[in-house]
Formats: sequence, structure tokens, C-alpha cells
Amino acid sequence: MQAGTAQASIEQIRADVSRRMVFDRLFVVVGLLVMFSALLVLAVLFIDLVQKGAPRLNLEFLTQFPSRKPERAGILSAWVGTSLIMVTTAAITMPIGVAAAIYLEEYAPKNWFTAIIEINVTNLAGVPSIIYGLLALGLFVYQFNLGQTILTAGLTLSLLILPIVIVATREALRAVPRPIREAAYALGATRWEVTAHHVLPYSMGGILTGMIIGLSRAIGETAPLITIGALSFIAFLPQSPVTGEFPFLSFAWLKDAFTAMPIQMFNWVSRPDPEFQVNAAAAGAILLGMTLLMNGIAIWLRYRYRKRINW
Amino acid sequence: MSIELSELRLHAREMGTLVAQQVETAVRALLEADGEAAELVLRREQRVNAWQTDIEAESFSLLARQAPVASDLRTVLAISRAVTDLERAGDEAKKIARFALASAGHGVGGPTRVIRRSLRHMAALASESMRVAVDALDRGDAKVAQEVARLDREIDHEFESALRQLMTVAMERAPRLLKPVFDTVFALKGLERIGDHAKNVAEHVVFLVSGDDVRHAGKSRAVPARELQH
Amino acid sequence: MQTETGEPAVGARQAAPVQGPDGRHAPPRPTVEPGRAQAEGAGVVKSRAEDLSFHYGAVQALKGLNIEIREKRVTALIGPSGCGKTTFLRCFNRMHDLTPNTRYEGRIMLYPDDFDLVARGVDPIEVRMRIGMVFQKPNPFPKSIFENVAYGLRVRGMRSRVRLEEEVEKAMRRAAIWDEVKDRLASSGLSLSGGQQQRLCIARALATNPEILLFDEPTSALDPIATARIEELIAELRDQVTVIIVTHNMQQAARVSDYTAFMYLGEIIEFDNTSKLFTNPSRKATEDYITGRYG
Repeated sequence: MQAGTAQASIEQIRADVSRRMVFDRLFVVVGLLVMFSALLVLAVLFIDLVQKGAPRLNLEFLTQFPSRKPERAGILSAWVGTSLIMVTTAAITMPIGVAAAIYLEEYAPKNWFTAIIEINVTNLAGVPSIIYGLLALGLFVYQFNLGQTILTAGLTLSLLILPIVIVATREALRAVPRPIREAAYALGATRWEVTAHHVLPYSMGGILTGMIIGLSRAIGETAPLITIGALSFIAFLPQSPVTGEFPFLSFAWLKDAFTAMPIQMFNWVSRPDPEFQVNAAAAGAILLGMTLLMNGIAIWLRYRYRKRINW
Repeated sequence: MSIELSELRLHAREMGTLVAQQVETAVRALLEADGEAAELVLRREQRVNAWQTDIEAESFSLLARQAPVASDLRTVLAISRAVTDLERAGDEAKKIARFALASAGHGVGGPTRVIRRSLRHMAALASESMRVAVDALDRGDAKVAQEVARLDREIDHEFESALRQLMTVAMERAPRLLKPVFDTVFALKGLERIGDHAKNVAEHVVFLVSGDDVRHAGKSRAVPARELQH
Repeated sequence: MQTETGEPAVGARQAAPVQGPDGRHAPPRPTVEPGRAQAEGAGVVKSRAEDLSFHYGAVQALKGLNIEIREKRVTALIGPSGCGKTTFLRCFNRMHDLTPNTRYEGRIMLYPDDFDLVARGVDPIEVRMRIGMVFQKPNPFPKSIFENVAYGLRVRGMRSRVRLEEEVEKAMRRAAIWDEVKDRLASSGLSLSGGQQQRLCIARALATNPEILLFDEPTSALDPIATARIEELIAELRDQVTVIIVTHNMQQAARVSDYTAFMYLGEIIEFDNTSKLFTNPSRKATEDYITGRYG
């Protein structure tokens, strides 16, 4: 009798579980579908660009200046400009963003003033990028008289991605567990020593990741660059940062006029000549490739840092 | 742990009650030449020993497993020590019962008649002191312990007095009374020892209550053992 | 068996805390243990808390504590959760300063220089330079084993590689971890087992020769064997370092400490020699707690 009832309940349990597992498996299927759809869209886009731009995807494309003839127009000045702008942006954003995040996370007292700052930092991430362009035009180009140069572009994009970097850095700093800080304090370290010797080094992975995510956002920004006056037909390069004479390093290139990848693409797409569409597609494929490459570096960095430090 | 501790105390009380009974029965056997009573004591002696083994084992296990502290620890230690004294008292009762059995044959005569009054007195005192000590252990009453000490002193006085009387008898009468005299002395000594064991139990009770070790109090104790020379 | 005076002595020698007319308790002076080896400095007071109170915002966590910490002896703080023992411990190295809205009242004196640790003008960094701490969960830095132990020395300005190596080895020997890791000082501190990590943290704290070493439940996250090794270590540290240890494991307090304080609801209920407190405590509350009859 006992065995009989036990048997029945086991069957009941099995039926119950398999009924509930249906929803479990259903969600897996739905999730996979959605994910693959998104990836599919991206893949289709990429393949489309590559296909359309295939005729122009060669070395000459990368080493030629823009020209009125589509078959001779290249993106040399564009990708050099983009690269230099990224370097400038990184150089400006990194210290400011990290310092601001350190202040907010480690030093700022928890009062209403700090709360206001924090809210505003997060809000700034949502400001439309063209607003930054207008701000930069008024402030950097005219007020500070920096002109329509790479330096201005760098400053503008820095403002744009600063909130991203600050938030990401704060998250990275926060991830350093409290016991580690306490251990350092207990040994007699000052707040700065705790930050510089422990908190910063251990969160470097997260900070770099945040930096690169910010840069991959900046790389595709067109509106602010147009606003501050990026040219779209320049047949020259900014001055080389490396010179033949002492001190072998020059910053003259910061003062040069520039163009950037998105600008060049926009310019070609607007032309009536269908040949230029091919160029635009090729440039788009390369730009996408650059972005994916940067994100790949970010992921690799995060993986490497996470291996070394597992809390 | 408090359940195990309660059980331990219950067992200690049972053993104590049994030993007190043994003493009373042995004493009665002696005074009234009651052979049956004597045999009862001899039969029950086994139970006394069994109790000792059981209680010691229980205490050991409790100490190992529960790591008691403070009053719990003192209780376990006090009971463990008291049980030793109880077992020895039971042994003495057995010897008295044997003597009673042996002298029951030729009646309460000879030397026992001479010291009859002392014998009765000592027997009553021994019996009472054991009963009071067991009660003190059960109730954890250190004040009653003083009562036991007093009873033990009386027993000792009575013992000395009886001893003197017996020596007179032995010297005056013929040496053929020597064996009976010796036997009587041993019986008296047994009663005296029962009083001592009762007093020891009382000292263990004091330890249980206050943690003070009063076993050798009164003698010079100012110097720790390792500093005493030879 | 006869006694000369004939009386079994009845009544206990109670070292009851002396109560002053205003109801406050003077710290009871623990009697020195017979049979315990008297080391150099025994009986010297290293630190004294005087009417120490502590507030988290509006809540008063510690209420007028008075206690003497003896030099080169191990003092244990025991009590139920929430009694304030960890709060009290963290006052000694001003760790509460890292939390906003906290307030000290009263004094914690450090001898021999009559230095009040919790005085308003005293920099907590200065306090932490003199008093070290080992935490509940082992928290080595994600640096190499060598750098972990050397960090405290670097903060104090030691630069010479030779001296650092000397001091690091000395500290790690004292913490009984040297032999196990001397061949891999460059490997990460996190690669060690839990017990080893904790000993590494102890070495890290010892490297700076603190005047008092605080242990905050150092073995509660460890397995029994690791726990036993650390208890051995603490016993060895006696006569070298003044130790204050907080533990919720009463048997541990009984095993490693010379003096024990029982705390409840932010007050010290009883403070005495460990063996006295565990064989014959003066207060019923202490007795109830250590025999497990309380909560």
C-alpha cells in the first residue's frame, strides 16, 4: 500500500516538473531567437557594407586622399584624423574622468551637494551630442580661440564621453572590496595612499574598459564634429607628431585642421554620383571594423585583469 | 548538556542513597547480630561498584563531549570525586557486614560487649554522617557540609575512646581474646573510615558550590607544590 | 584525615567589582594566577579605557567602558552578538573614523606615554601606525606575498631592499608562514589557502611591530585545523606582543587568553583572569552565558 502511494506521487512530481520545464525551455528559445536576430541584423549590415564597398576595399583606399573622382578618393586623411582625435580625446578624458571619479567615490562627503553633482554627471550622458557641438563652437572655437582644430575636436568629444568614463570608473572603484581598503588603512596608510597604492591599481581593468567603451562611442560621433567645423575635403595630413630633430616629439598637429571618418562618409553619401556610395560603404565597413576592434580590445583587457584579481 | 548533567546528578543521588543504605544495614547487622541483613549488604556491594563505573564513565564522556565550564564543570568534577569516596564507604560497609556475619555466630559477646555503647554510638554517627553528606551533594548545600565535619570529629573521638577500652581489655584478659579484639578494632576502624569518607564527600560539595579546594585546608598551604623541597 | 583547625572552609573568594557611590564600577583587579609563568612586563598596564562611550549617530553602542589591558598578555572580549565587542575593538585603531556620523566619548589611554587615542585632536593615521589589526575574513592584497608583508614598512618609508627582505622574513617567521612560502614570495597572496592567507595577514600586521595587535574574530572563517594553528600562533605571541582578541567562540577565549572580559549590551559585565572567569565567574550573567544557558 505504501509503495503504491509513493509511486503515484513520484509520477505526479515528474508530470509537474515537466510541465514547468516547458516554460523554462521556452524562455531559452525566445532568448536565443532574440539574440540571434540582433546579431543577424548586425551581420547583414556588415555584409551589406562589405559587399557594396568591395570594389574599393584595397590598400589604395586607405592611402589616398579624397578626390573628385570616386575611384581615386581615399580615406587617408579621414582615418588619420580619426586616430589623432581619439588619441587626443583619450589623453584629455583619462586624467579628468578618473580624477573626478576618485573624488566622488573616495573623498566627497555624502551630502546634498555631492548628490547634485552625481545626478548631473549621469544626466550629462543623455545630452544630445549636437549640444556639445554648439557648446564647443561657442567656447573652444570662439571664446578660447582654439580654432577648428584637432585639439578642439578632442576637447569636444571628451566632454561627450566624460560621463561614461566617470560612471564606469566609479563602478570599477566600487568593485574594490571594503576589506582591502580597511586592511590598507589599518596599516597606517593615508587616504591618498590607499587610493594610489591599492584602489586605482586594482580597478585599472575596469577603468580601461570604461575608457575604451567611451572611445568607441566617440569614434562614430558626427554631429559635434560638423558643428565645430570639420572639413570634409582636405588633401593634406596634420603635421607628424614625430619629428627628425630634438625633442623628436611635436604637438603642432593639435593646431591643424582635420577631418574624420564619419564626416567623410557623410560627405560621400550626400553626393549624387552613385560611385561615391561605394566609397561610403567601404568607409563604413572600415569604421565598423575599427569599432569592433576597439570593443574587442576592451573585452580582452577585462578578461586579463579579471584573471589576475579575483576577489 | 543540562539534560545529561541532570541525569548525572540523579545517578549520583541514587548511588549515594544506596551507599547510605548499605551503611545503615551493615550497622544494624552488627548491632543486632542480624545475619540476613549482613548477607543483603554483601549481595548489594556489586551494585555499588557498578554505579561507580557507570558514573565515572558518564562524567568522562560529558567532559570530553560538552567541555563544561564554571559550575557545570565543578559539578562534574565534584561528583566524580565524591563517587570514589562513596565506593570506598560501600567497601567498608561490606567489611563490617562480614564481621557482623562472623561474630553473629558466637553472639554479640566478647570484646564487642565491652565497647557496646561506643559501638552503637559510632554506628549511628557513621550512618547519619553518610546520609547527611549524600543529601548535601544532591542539594549542593555547602553549609550542611559543616555538620558532616562535626559528626566526623565525634566519630573520631568515639573511636579513640573505644580503642582505649579495648586495649585495656586485651591487656587484662588473656591473649586468647586477641583475635576477636583485632577483629573488633577493624570493625571500629571501618566505621571511623566511613565517617572520613562522608567528610570527603562534604569537601567535594564545598568545591562544587564555591570552587574552593578545602581538602587540606588548615595545614600550611602558602607554598606551591613545586617549591617544596623533597 | 583530620584537619588541625577542623573546619572545612566554606565560602568563595570573590573578586567582585568595586562599586563606587555613584554606581560606577571600578575595574576589578585580576588576581595573578598561581602556576602561571611570570614573564617580563607581566602586570604592566599597556592601555586603559576610561569611561569610553561610542555613538553611531543617535545610537549609543558602548556605555562607559572601563578596562585595563596588560602589556604582552592576551585579553579576550566575549559576549553575545551585538554586545559591542567588535565596536570596542575598532575604537583602539580608530577604524570607526572611516564611517561618517560616529562619535567617541571618554578616553583610551596608551602607555607609557599617556597618549589618548580617541582625543579629538589626534590623527587616526598616527594611531594606526602604532596599533595593528587582523580581520575576520583574511584580506591579503592582490599583490605578491612579499609585497603584502612589506606594504606596512613601505608606508613607513623603508626603501632599502635588504632591510625590507630582513623584516619581511622576520615577520613571516613570527607568523609561522615563512617555511611554507619562502620559495614563492613572488606569487600572489590570493593563491594561498584560507588559513595561510590569514597567517599572511598576521605577518603583514606584525611587520610593523605594533604596540597592540587587535584580532577581530580571526578564525571564524577558517576550518578547525587552520583555527588550531592560529590559536597556537597567538599563544606563541604572548610575551612578545600585547593582544586584544574578539571571539564569539568561548572555548577559543578560554584557550588562548590570559584575561577575559564579558560584555553585554555595550557594557563590561565582568573582567577577570581567564581561568577564574571560566571556573568560577562572579556574576550570574557571565555564568549563564558561558554555560550556554543564556540565548
